[in-house]
Amino acid sequence: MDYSDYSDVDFIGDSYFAEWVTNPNPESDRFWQNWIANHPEKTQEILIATYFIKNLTYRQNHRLSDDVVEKMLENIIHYKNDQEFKFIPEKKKTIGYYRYAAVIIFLILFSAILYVRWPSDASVADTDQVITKISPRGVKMKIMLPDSTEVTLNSESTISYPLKFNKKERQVHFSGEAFFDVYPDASRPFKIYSENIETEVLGTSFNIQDYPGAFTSKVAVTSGIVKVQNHRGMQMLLSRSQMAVMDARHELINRTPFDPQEELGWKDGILLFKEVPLSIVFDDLEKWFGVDFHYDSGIRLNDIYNGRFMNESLENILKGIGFTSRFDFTIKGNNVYISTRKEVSLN
Amino acid sequence: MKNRPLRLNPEKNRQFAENNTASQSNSISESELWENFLQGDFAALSQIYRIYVQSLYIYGCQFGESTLTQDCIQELFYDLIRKRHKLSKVKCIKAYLYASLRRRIHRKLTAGGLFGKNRQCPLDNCFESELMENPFFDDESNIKVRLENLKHACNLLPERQREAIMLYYYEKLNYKDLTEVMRLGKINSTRMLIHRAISTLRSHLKPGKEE
Repeated sequence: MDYSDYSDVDFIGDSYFAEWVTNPNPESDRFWQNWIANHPEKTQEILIATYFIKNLTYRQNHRLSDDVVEKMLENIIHYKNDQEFKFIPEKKKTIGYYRYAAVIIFLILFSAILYVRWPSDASVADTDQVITKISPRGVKMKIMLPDSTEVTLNSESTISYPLKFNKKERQVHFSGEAFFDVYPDASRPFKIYSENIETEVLGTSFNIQDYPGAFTSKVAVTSGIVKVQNHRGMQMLLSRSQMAVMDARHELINRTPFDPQEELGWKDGILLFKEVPLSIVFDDLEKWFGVDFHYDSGIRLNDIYNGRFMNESLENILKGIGFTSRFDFTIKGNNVYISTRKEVSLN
Repeated sequence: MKNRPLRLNPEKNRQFAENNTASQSNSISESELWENFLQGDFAALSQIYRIYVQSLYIYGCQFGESTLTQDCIQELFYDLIRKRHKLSKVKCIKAYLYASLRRRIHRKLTAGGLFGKNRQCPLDNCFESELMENPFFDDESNIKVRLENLKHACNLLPERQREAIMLYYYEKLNYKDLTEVMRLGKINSTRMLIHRAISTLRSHLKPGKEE
């Protein structure tokens, strides 16, 4: 199928595309991620089609109030005289009690609130109380924010958020690396302020890497639409399977495709090294396991390494790397000593 | 066994009331839920009701009558309870409920024959669509303008095409379920209907819109 001259309407009308947006499977996911990565010139069409399919709604969309929903259910059960519904009086009774209980609890809560709020204006509102969570080196954490957004913090990362989000928007401050699965709420955008970038979404999932002092910051999107902005006010919209890479020195933003395993593998315990120098490998391992590396001058830190490890111990990983990169190691507590391998001449 | 009365399980019931917003429950599948209801489990019925009542209401209101929609929903569920011995397995509860509600609303709107006083369908503002506002797009950006045009084009479609578009994209029914809800008979007719709608959109958006 040749999609290269497709317009946004064509994408909307393509059932393979529409089904991928609403209900992706591994096969369609692979196809479209690949296609989007290879056709950056189609970003706008894809963005429009995705947005249309996801956000189309009825103009007339009044909901029933909770009261009416309950009333209707009662009507349905009570409707006419059906002999099979002998349990009705009993049910009515319990509902009645619930109602009284609800009123009493409401009164108690209300007076409690009055009591707490009234006398002192010193008491802080929930929206002003900030919670800070820090994942130290070697530790990953899963956090549920007050709006049901799920955050997986990679090691050496910090997030702070209010005890309760305000009505207009959801703001968090963040540093390090984390995977966000933002609870959809179109009326309250979710904003993340980190070292070099500001990321804004409505309800999507994506990975942010923005460590203080690092040269690049990255935002990799796995679903929905994300807006990123740097301190200069440069903005970029990203759709699923796109990544923004920010250069801290030049303050440029680039849009690129990404390898999900490379960017998101960390949260599933996958360590992936793709064409990286040993110095980076050691840095990552320090972070991952919460250890310090010491190496002798013979180690060539610029040597390129490739490898993939899944839920492996530090010892096994070092054995693997040491085999190809030719070094020996000893682990003492939180310290790892790397030394050049004593070559055994074969001749 | 078939005539067992509906069971009331207050414990279960309360539980459902608490997480009624949770979609389709994590532990129990749609077909199991339906099966439980057919077996006479009251909690299953009230769970089905709570899952679908809001979207059924919004869907029904598209035909222009909110009170009538409420009545039809109540009758629909009442008939479910009353006729459950005669009901069979359903693949998609949503499609079954939508089809039934649609049939009821149409029947009432056309009551009194073709020229009856209640006849007011099709209405011009049936199934009007809206795109949720997105603060990301600047007011003058190409994307925003284009999306606005798309929305207008949607609202210019004939009523049946509009309904099909909303059922497919918003309600996320597949072709088969859409065929059942709109009583189109064959999947191919549904495909054609959507295809025609998209072609109309395309032609509405073409002239004067160079990109």
